[in-house]
Amino acid sequence: MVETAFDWLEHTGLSEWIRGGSFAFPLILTAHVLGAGFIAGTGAAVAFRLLGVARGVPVSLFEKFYPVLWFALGLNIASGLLLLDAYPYKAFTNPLFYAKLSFIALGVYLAVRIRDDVLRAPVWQNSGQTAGLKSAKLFAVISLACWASTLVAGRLLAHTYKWLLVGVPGGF
Amino acid sequence: MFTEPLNPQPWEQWIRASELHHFISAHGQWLWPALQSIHYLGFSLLLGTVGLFDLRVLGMARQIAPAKLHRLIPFGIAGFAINLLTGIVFFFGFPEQYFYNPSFQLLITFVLVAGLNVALFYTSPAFTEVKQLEPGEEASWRAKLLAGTSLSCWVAVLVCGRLITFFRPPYFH
Repeated sequence: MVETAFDWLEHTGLSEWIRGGSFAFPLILTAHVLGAGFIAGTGAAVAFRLLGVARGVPVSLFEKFYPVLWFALGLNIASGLLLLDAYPYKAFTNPLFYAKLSFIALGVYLAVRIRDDVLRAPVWQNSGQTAGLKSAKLFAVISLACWASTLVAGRLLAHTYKWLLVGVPGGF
Repeated sequence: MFTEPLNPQPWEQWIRASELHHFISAHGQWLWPALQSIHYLGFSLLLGTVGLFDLRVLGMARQIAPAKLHRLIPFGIAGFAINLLTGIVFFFGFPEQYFYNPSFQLLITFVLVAGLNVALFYTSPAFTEVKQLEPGEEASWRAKLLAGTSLSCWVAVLVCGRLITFFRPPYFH
């Protein structure tokens, strides 16, 4: 039943075009990797500040870099959906894919929490003080772990899939 | 799958005879995915530190004094060091896959340009100027040119790195 739906999806024009050996697949994949690098990198920079690095930078000002994060996230949702359209069965039959989605969800949630509860907290405004909130450091550590896990899980998807397409097993 | 090139050069034979090459060949199953993951983490560290610093010089988050943001740079250098080391391991694993690969050749070119750009930035008056910028102050066009070159080069390095698999020499298919 579910296979029928994936099989249909794999035979849509867009899906076949992306897989078709043109520039499409490498281009989408590269955009996805670049976006993830910027998301994780920006998230890491914010986390490092909360953990005490670059204390001279007022914590609140890190919100100025959030557009990088949101722009890259938008790029990756778009490129991710296209990759998913190209190989839906490959992703949905791999448990690691769901783990990766969970890391992203938690990472985005923490990025919002950090912005609203830490960067925008009155205590940080125009002050160069060290991170004082315990929860801020906890958010930072979990956020770092989330983004690192997202990148690792994403990279390992290419090594762990059981099926390439419906009826076409992966090489593992 | 993989067959060795027909007439390997002396340097290829030397690498293939090395301890490191044998170790990678024996443990490739887990070593390769693990090192690829670390290589990716190292790169995002570079993007999140050097990349954000470049963006500040270019005019983003201008309320931050660049000298203060510069404290993040050591993490970027650590990321680069991690990637240099893991990169050497990749090269020792399959030297021909990289050496004869246009995408890899371009990657190394961009790393070299980025390196020259770093040297130029720290030895030119641009660094002194950027270091003294107050919150809200705009950098000179010279500093912006260097920062723009840096950011473009590192993005190009990542793009070339991701595309390596699509430009493998024929005997890797």
